[in-house]
Amino acid sequence: MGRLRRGLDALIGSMLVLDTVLVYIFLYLPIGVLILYSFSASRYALVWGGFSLEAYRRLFTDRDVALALLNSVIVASASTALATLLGTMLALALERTRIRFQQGIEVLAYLPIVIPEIVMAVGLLLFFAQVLRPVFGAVSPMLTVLIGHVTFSVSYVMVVVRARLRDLDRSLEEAALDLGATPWQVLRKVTLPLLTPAIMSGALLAFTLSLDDFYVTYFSTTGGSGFKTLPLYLYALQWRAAVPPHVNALASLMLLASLALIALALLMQRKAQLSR
Amino acid sequence: MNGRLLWWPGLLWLLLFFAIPVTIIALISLAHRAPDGVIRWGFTLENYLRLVEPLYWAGPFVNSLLLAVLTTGLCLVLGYPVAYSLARQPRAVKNLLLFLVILPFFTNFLVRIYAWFIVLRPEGWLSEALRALGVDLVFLGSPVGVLIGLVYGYLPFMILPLYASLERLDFSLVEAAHDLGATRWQSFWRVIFPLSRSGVIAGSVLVFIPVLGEFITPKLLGGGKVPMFGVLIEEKFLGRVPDWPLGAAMALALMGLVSLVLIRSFRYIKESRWVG
Amino acid sequence: MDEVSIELREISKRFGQTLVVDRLTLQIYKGEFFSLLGPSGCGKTTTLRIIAGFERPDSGELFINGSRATHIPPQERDVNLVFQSYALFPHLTVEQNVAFGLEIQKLPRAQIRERVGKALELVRLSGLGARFPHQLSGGQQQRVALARALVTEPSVLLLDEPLGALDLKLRQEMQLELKRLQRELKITFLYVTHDQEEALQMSDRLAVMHQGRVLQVGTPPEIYERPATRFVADFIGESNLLEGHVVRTVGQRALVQIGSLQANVLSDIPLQPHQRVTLALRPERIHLCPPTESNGIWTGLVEALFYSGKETRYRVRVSPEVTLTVISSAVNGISVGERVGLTWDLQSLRPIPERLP
Repeated sequence: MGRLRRGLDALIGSMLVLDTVLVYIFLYLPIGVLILYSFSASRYALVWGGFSLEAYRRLFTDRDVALALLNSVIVASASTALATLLGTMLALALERTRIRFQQGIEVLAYLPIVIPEIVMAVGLLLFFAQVLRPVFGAVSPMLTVLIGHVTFSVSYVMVVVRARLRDLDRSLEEAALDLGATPWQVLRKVTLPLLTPAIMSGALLAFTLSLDDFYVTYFSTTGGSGFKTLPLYLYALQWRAAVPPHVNALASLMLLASLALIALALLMQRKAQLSR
Repeated sequence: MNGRLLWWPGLLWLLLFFAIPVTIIALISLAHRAPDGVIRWGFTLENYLRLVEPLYWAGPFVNSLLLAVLTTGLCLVLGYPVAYSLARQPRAVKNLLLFLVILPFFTNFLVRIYAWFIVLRPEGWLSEALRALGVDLVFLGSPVGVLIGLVYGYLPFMILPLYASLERLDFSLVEAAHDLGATRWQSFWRVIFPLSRSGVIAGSVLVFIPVLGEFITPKLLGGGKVPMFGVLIEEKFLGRVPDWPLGAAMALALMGLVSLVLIRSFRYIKESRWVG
Repeated sequence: MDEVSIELREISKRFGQTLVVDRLTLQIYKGEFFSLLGPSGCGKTTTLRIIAGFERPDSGELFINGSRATHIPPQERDVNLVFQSYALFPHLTVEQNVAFGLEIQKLPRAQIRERVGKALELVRLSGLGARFPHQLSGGQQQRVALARALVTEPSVLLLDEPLGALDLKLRQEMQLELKRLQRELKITFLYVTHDQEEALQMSDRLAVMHQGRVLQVGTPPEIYERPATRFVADFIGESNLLEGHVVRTVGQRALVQIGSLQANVLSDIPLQPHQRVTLALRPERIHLCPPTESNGIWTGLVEALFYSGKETRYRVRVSPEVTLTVISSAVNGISVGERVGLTWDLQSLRPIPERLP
């Protein structure tokens, strides 16, 4: 009995390790395969045909990819700038001032995060079709995508900045007031400098979300008609055996870009911690 | 501080591009379908009545729920041991391993699905290997492939809150349980698991909700042969036979379902300190 | 003779259902070291925050240097606060922290530099100006907070439990330091603390607060020797509190019956026969002597004894319903179970006038 028990316990212990190892393999297996295949010499993306950099060469000469990349970067930069501004202001407002219907407004500010993305995407599609176009006529797809991205990013920036603001020792702002600073001076000289790391992480999050977004972009352009960001470009390549191999290269590079962004985020976080 | 000025820009944005669109969904869900598939304004409940028609709805409804439950269950079973092992590592190792869990999740969603597409295709080495073992599994275009993609996409959402609650757990409690004669299994089932309840619930909700509204994974890995809510909603708006009012009713029903789950579990999500 | 620096008139403040400050009236004079003393939650910090301008009183008026300040925002008040957490700006160096208030006033750069230097010298931190707060020890951070609050030369310095986070030795050192600063600068210090020893040692005058109200205001000896309420008697130092009633009075003298015992009391408050009265007697003012059955000296049985080096505490039962705590620094070889006699100076046994808490 005792031996059986001990045996069972040992089994649980080794299963714990085994599961953990398997999960990590599971997480990195497809990424590894993807990168490997991006160096394939085959004419087809899904077939291995020996090592080559041909896919990368083709990628860099592809006009459609370049255009999609440009669109992605423009939308991400613009939506990040706007969402960071709006989100930070909202966070400050929610945490530092009082207003009527505050609770309702708070719920409204959080909703874009919690409702399924597809619902928000559908709502934007209908809004553009039923309100924006009838009122303003033809609207450029880039603008509709931008509006969509800002809308979900605002909430994320707000959450990140607000969390830091809540942790911020209130007495720091009081000390500044006590030393004669006006509320505006307090904001400029104390609150904002202390919030900078949080605002930067919020912005980075917004940027990543925008680059990554599929649902809102897809619906905001009613199915990607003409205007393509990188994810839309990837989606539109009917995935069959004949996918051109430079898609592997593109996917690998997108992966690398994400990694670079995270590295940047971590670096900034490290720096923020050091200066505290 | 002049509070009004901080509120208005963000609030206006959210009202215009979030609250109004969602309201429009609600209005359109009560309208008639025009011959072109778009809208004839009016007031009818027929779209909602069609939602509860068993034959129409049974397939995608059961499919979505089943896949969402299976995904959540698999994520929990796979993720718990990982979160537990992570929580017990020394600090430096802990952070590195946690980082490795989150890393793939920061890369583009479509890129990740595309990577699985390469791994899972019928001529791929995984299928070949399984066939050699006498298992003939079709991944692409089947629920199995979709399930793998979903688990992959949402595993971090499970591991992070689990980790957060397990990390705060005082492991001397486990030692105390051992000291009192409990086996590993007993100390897990009677001490650790109950204390990590908020993490389990938060993780489950964070996986369950987005999976319900998923559209890319079933579309790309399921090849349109695995109908889920999200796929159906997309078809009603951007498919060949559009039906906006029905699509709007579906989106709203999905939102209602999600709100129900969220309201029931809000306390635990907050407790796990993973959101907000 | 004394000019009033801060005056509170009937100030009240509520947080939700709780009345935190209850019709508080207080006058603090120019140049004095005044303490607000009370247990946590007694309203002392809220009172301080009302004076600094971070809380608006629900009713009552506040005057700073003779002018009404109730509704003046904090940045326009001529008082500076030293926060309990120090509230040093983590993104600024020590010098920049101290210079903050002067830069807000837009003083010329040279003047700022000079005054910051002087302020750092005053708190003995010259040479550490380029450091960031997190590179300093707790005591040094405390000094920076002081320098930052003092450099703008406010007429009143408010201190919110400034020494609470320091260990005992450092705290004693900083107590001396604060006294020195106050003497040198001659500005009003309003000091909030829950540490009664600290308040007694440092203050010119102090107010004891409890449940939002001031129970007694006075110099440290007044508060200690003549506590006005049971709460004060018990909170400041330690007191044996005896319940009884007046048997008869002769002039300022009264005979009080406490259970089966009687005691003579010298009272500066009018007492009437049959009146119920509470007497306070400090444990260290009781002397132990051999038991004699003569002329009204109380005797009792030593029930317990706690030796702590510099003093010994005894618990002595003097009647079935009354035990007294006695503290003695003498080594006298008394042991548990022994009978002892107890004596004290007549004025050490004090009637407490009010039946307040």
